[in-house]
Amino acid sequence: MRLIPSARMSHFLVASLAVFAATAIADEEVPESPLIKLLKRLPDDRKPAIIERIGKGGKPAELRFLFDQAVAPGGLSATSRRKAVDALAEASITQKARPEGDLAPLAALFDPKTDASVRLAAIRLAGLWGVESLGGGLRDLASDKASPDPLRTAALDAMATLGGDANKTAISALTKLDQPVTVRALAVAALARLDAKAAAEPAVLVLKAATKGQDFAPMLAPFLDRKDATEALASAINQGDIPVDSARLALRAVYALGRSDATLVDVLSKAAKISNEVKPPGKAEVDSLVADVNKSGDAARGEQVFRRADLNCMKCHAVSGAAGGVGPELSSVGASSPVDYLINSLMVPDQAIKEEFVTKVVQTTDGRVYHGIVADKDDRRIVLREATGELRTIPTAEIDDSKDGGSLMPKGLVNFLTRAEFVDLLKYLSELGKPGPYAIHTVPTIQRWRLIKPVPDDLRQAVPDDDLFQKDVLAAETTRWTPAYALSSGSIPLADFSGIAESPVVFLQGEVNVTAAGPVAVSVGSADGIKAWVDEKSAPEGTTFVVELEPGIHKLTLRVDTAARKTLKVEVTKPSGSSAEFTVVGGR
Amino acid sequence: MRRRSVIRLALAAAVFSQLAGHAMADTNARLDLKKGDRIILIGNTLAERMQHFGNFETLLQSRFPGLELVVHNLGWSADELTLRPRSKGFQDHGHTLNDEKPDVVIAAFGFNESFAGPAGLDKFKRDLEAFVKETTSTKYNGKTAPKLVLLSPIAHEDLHNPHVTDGKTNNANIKLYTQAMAQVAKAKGAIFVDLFGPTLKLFAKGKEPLTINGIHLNPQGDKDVAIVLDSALFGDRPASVKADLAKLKAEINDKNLQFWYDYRAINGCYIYGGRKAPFGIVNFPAEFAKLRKMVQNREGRVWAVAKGETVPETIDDGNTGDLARIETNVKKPIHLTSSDESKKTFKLPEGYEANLFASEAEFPDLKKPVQMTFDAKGRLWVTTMASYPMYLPGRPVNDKVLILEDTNGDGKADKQTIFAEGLHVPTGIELGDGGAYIAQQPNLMFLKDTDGDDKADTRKVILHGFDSGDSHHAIHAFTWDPGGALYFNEGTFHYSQVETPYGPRRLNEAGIFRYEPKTEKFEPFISYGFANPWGQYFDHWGQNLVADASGGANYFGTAFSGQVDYPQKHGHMKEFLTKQWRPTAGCELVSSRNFPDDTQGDYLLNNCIGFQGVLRYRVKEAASGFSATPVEPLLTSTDPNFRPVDLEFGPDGALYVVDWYNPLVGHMQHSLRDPNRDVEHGRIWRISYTKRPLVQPAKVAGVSVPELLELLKAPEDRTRYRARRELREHPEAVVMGALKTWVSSRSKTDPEYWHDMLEALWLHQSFDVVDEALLKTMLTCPEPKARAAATRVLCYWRDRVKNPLDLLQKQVNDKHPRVRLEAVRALSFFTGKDAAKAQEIATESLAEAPDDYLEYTLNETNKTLDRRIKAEKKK
Repeated sequence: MRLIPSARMSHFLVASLAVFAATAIADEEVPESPLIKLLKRLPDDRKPAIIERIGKGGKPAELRFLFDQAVAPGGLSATSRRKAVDALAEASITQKARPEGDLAPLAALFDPKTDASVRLAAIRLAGLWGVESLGGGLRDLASDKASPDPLRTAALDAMATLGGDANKTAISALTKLDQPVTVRALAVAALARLDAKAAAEPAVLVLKAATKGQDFAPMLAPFLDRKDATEALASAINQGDIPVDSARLALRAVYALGRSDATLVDVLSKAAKISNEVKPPGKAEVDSLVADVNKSGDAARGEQVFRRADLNCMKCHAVSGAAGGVGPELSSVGASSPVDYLINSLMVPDQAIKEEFVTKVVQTTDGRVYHGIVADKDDRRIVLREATGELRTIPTAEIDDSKDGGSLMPKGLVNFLTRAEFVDLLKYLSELGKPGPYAIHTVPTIQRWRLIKPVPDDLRQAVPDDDLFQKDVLAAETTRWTPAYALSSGSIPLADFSGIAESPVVFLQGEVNVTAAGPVAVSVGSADGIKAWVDEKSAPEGTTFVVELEPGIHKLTLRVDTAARKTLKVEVTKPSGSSAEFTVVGGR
Repeated sequence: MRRRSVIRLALAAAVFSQLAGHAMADTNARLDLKKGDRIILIGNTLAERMQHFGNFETLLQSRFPGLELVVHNLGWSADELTLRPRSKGFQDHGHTLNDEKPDVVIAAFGFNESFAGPAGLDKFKRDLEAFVKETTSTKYNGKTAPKLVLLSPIAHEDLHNPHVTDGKTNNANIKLYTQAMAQVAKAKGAIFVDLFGPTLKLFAKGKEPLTINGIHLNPQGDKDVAIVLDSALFGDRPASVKADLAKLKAEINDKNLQFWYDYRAINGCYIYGGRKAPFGIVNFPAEFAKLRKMVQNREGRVWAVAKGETVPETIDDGNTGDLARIETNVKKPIHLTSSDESKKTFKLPEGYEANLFASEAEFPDLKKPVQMTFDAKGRLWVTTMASYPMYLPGRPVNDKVLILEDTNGDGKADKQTIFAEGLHVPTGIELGDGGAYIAQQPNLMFLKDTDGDDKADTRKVILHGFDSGDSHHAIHAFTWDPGGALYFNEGTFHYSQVETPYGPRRLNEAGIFRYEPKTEKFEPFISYGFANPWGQYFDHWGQNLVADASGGANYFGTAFSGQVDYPQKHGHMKEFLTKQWRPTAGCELVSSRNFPDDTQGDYLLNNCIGFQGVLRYRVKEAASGFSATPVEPLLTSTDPNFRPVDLEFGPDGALYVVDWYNPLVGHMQHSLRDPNRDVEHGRIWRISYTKRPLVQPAKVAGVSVPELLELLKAPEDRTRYRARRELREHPEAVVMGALKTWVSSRSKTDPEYWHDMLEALWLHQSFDVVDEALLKTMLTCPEPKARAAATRVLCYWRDRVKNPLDLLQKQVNDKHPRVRLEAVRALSFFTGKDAAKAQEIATESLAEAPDDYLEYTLNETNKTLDRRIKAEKKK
């Protein structure tokens, strides 16, 4: 537990006093709507549904009652309080509705004693409401070195929404070179929303200080939201002389955001020494590519190309159910798509878009432009699934213009490839789903894994006992797990996994969702160099073992010594006569 | 032939002399025509239907034989002055007024607008004034603005059918709107033709109905109205005309058919829409250039026949140009597998067997089968689509409905009857009401065999206006619910609008329609942003599941079938099973004593790319809804041509699977005219479980009503399905009488008692006979699934039972979540002043913990009610 500096303590104190005053008024004035009656009457575990309804209804008197409950100490359980803050945010976003009366008491929820997720949501809500008096609390959070990144990001974002000199000065201060580069990146993103010109220079400095594999997407995204901001950044980069590697990472981030804006892509491509030519292939070129794919394309090499991080393919597209989640699943793409169609899909992504992946470009009244697949829509708001997989809610009232967009697939990806690599990639895609090694497999395999990174020495040197396993592996924080995916065939590229984990011994974890209890068989091909746990217990040894599983999500964790074996494929099947029903968990 | 037409003409003349008087009195001015005038009809279904009969054009062309008039009918179902939704890019197809360059515009508006009642009259007048001003001041032909003729709506005919509105309210409104049109026309200098007054008189006088549903003219009605219109515009008929009117009409109708193929071309997405590149832009320009020249050739013949000249029997289209030669983009050799080869690739779980029921080898007409259904005699009906993906100019379409029969019970078809031919891409079929409902995009057509020879003798377009922007998104997956409503689904890109006696109904970008043929009620059932929902199944208790084809998603249908008001749609819905593959086509639940016990209720799903076969999922009750997980597939094939697109249990308890059979699928991946698209093959497979006997097919045809009622106790869903359909063929009084006896003979101790009673309630619903006492019994009966089903019946009877909101308040507080879900869903159907009360009642559902579906549906119902409450406040 951290001590709160005294200055901030007084801030919270004022806020708490306001709470009581507001509650007193509310008690007298709020008419007993059916929802409020229910909220008062029902036990706490039943409140979330009512709270959600109040948020969706957007009636200011009901929102006030909810707000007072949310900020009052002991007013609601953590779950209900989180739901209440979300409901208030939803009312604000989709209906421009807020609680009537004073909103300053929200600051009470900035207190570090508040549940972390509630705190984060409250900070975001402060930004949505744009209440000036909450700025002080936000600035404190943003400049506090102890604030975790998500909190800081939310605070900075809220400050950017509030605007004003005090917030701008505080954000600018965090873009200076005396700050760690990760903090600078966050602050640059916030500053870009307020003053793109002022943010462009510090952004270039962050790019220059890039570390290997750094993800620039969060920092670059706000620059891409506005045309003038994109131009300001492009011009700063053009003069900034950024290293080739930084430029490549930045270009990759732009593509990962689903954007191909020429202004930025041109300067980044130049700095990255990559061609930025994007032009539809002519007939002769298509014919020659098709011929080469059939003659010399190598699907196995193509799969490696597909998996390359700089291409981002797997950020959007799943194969065999793993990764993806934004663009079409590709497990059977080759079965229905001839090679020329695939060539066009990669080089001219806008030409043919499957119906579920049609996008919208939405311009808001404040000049921002968002691009995504419509995940949900009604007369109050539109929800876009952006290329990053994130959902963005835009209130209808703020939409200035909305038109059909092209594909989220970036144009120019092919420029990252040699012709031979492109031919291999096409070959791979054209084989997916056809009979043969790339046919869809009907025996379920675990495709989506999580890897522990880094692997602690003791875990590396010896097989841990169940106690140590439970403490150091099973209970490891989510941030220590990195996603990694099996090949489309289900085989695990052990060398790659070892590289990701930076260790010859890897811990990998997959999940099985059981809906009906019963015995489930797990097969690992050979017992060499492998040790398995199902949930917290050691699994029986052997190439195939059977475990009795109850309904729910079960974790299969493997310790694999990659020096002791070359290949691994994990199949999960139903032993004959078993009553178990399950699915292997895929996705990102 | 000749004789008959003379008699008809004489009749027409007789009617004409009675009618002419009314119309003339209401006309501002006569319409003068010049040689070569282009007359363009626009407006709603009144205009659209005229082209299918050709009566007005026949009178027109025969009256002015030398004028060589061009008549193009751009009428469009349910169009309004300011609301004419079209699929993307339609304006580039070449049929705007700028393209058509009219000298005369004949516009039929006001019918759909009239449903706004007196409150909407001012807006209508303003809109009409603006329309008249624009139309009469724009020089579409480059020289002069066109003359404008405004047609009033026709009256609503009282069909004296207790199940359909008598149209009194509608007529009061139509009269108001007609008067407004007359005023505006007079003030703004347009020619006005009152069709309301004359048709009101015609309907009152006629012994036979002149409309099919109260609002759309039948052939005789069109003929009568054509006479009214002709005389209103041009005065007395000439003493004699040179044309053979029957011949002239045939020529006109052929011209109109070719124009229809152009104007209402199916697959618009690939012709002018978002997917025209890279393939459509290669083949379609030449196709439509040719088609438009074919229309001109036919116009020449019309003019010749109008002058009394003879024209050659066969039409010479030699001057219409050549079509582009299309090469395939499939570079690998294609091997068309025989049915034996295909069968060798089938893998089924132990004990199951697949056999070929029918193929193109024994039945060469079985080309591209799509949807099937079984009739009362146990015969399999199937639509075929050799013209797929669409009409090729100059090559007449000849898609069919086949009846395939296994006369010796060996599990193989041995007899084929062609029920109908000359169809165009019939994507869906269902039998009932003495005939067959068939998709003829953009229309729903009803075909009937009137003399018992299993051949359709009459064809009637009963619903218009389903979009056809993408031919395999057009209405399909026809199915009945247990209460006698017909459903069909459509995919995205489509903007459909249908005129009904209760007002226009519209749907944008995908959904499922619900149609009650008995009452002519029609509305979107699920308005949701599907890709292409090719499958719907109603289970034992009337709960519906929906399969979306392109993305492979599957949904529990009850939760998102509440009302939303156009153009709103339901919000994102969770799937009820874990998706494995895509794309799918057709779903069915296992309900057959031939199949093992533990598979009963399994959800079957065809999948046609990558994984080719029939997927199987174990379904579980999950509070208000269902959830399902994959189990071993029922059928897996590695034949790349095998494309299962429909599946249904037959009367023998075996599962029948329609194999569309095509090496190429997908409209986007290959040219629509890719020569490798197969048009010759098609198969129907039959899967049975060998360790159990087949089901003895129930006798449905030719049995008595009490025997049919006994079949409502059958364990097989499909047997009860066919029994219900057959019961509707019998007179209402007979069925209701027998039902009373049947119900009273049931024993409450029978475990199936409440299901039997539910069948009785559904039968009432199917006959549109409201039995409030039975409904109330079912709403409160001990079986929660029956209470849920009854709640849905209440939803559709809400306009006919006393205090429906009070009844729903009880259901909202029911102890079973599915009953609450049905109640919350039903509350979304309340409008006007009831909306606020409905919302209060819906809130009460939160007194019990909601699950995902209840939360979703409550939210959706509230959204709809919020909008209505807001609109009500504005009034």
